[in-house]
Amino acid sequence: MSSEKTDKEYCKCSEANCYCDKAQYNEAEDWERAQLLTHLDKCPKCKDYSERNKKLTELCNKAKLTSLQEEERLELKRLLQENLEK
Amino acid sequence: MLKFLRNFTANLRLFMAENTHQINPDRWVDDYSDYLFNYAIVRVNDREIAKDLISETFLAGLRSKKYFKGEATERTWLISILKRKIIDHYRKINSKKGQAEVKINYTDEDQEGEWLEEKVADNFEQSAEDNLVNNELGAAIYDCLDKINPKHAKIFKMKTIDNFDTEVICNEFGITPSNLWVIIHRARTALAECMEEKWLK
Repeated sequence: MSSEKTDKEYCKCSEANCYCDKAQYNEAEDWERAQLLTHLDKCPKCKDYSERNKKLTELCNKAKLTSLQEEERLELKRLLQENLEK
Repeated sequence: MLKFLRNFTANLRLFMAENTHQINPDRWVDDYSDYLFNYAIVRVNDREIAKDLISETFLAGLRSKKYFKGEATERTWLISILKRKIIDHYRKINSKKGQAEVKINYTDEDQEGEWLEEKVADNFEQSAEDNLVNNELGAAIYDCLDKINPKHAKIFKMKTIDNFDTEVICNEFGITPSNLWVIIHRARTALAECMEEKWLK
């Protein structure tokens, strides 16, 4: 009985990676986090991915990346187009 | 001998064509605006000013595109123009304050077309070491995003940089949330691989 429960809780690597990605955006449900942690205890490959993934998130936050909004981008395109036609 | 010379000339032409960068203003906004915007915003710390500087950079690029020799990449060339625009911006501020402290060699508007296709060795003074690291890091992330699948890069940017909701991105691309997470996973894996050597070890 107990081992059946464990099997159900132990998700596939692809699922664990997906939960790990969702967790980077705070979008993993509690049960997904729980399954991820259980999986990471037993899977060194996914643990490695999880650590790299966390580092990547830290780097993205540290870089304070920002981008233009769609309207701003369109405005720039219009400006370029007008001046290309001159 | 004649045949050898003909082959040599043909190969030389091919080599030069392959190693000369092309200019394509139609792609500038899609390909470089985010990179240039990040470059500018960390230096002027103001979104509106950064946007104006990008507009000025693109217009100056258009005016002087005939001088683009293709020795550097388009992006490097545009960055070199942006750098001058940033210096001009600070020069104007300083002259308004009566403290023209920024020394530059190319202040004449007529020289606009003579921008050097210089390698981007950023000599601009930064106030803190952190800023330098962050600039370099931001550039590294954008460099790597340029190398991965463009659709994956766009979705990654929307999710990670612009913080769009999953639902909004799914609607825009006509994909399911499961598809989105697969794409995010591929983008993150490719990005981590690209940044591994310098930033993730």
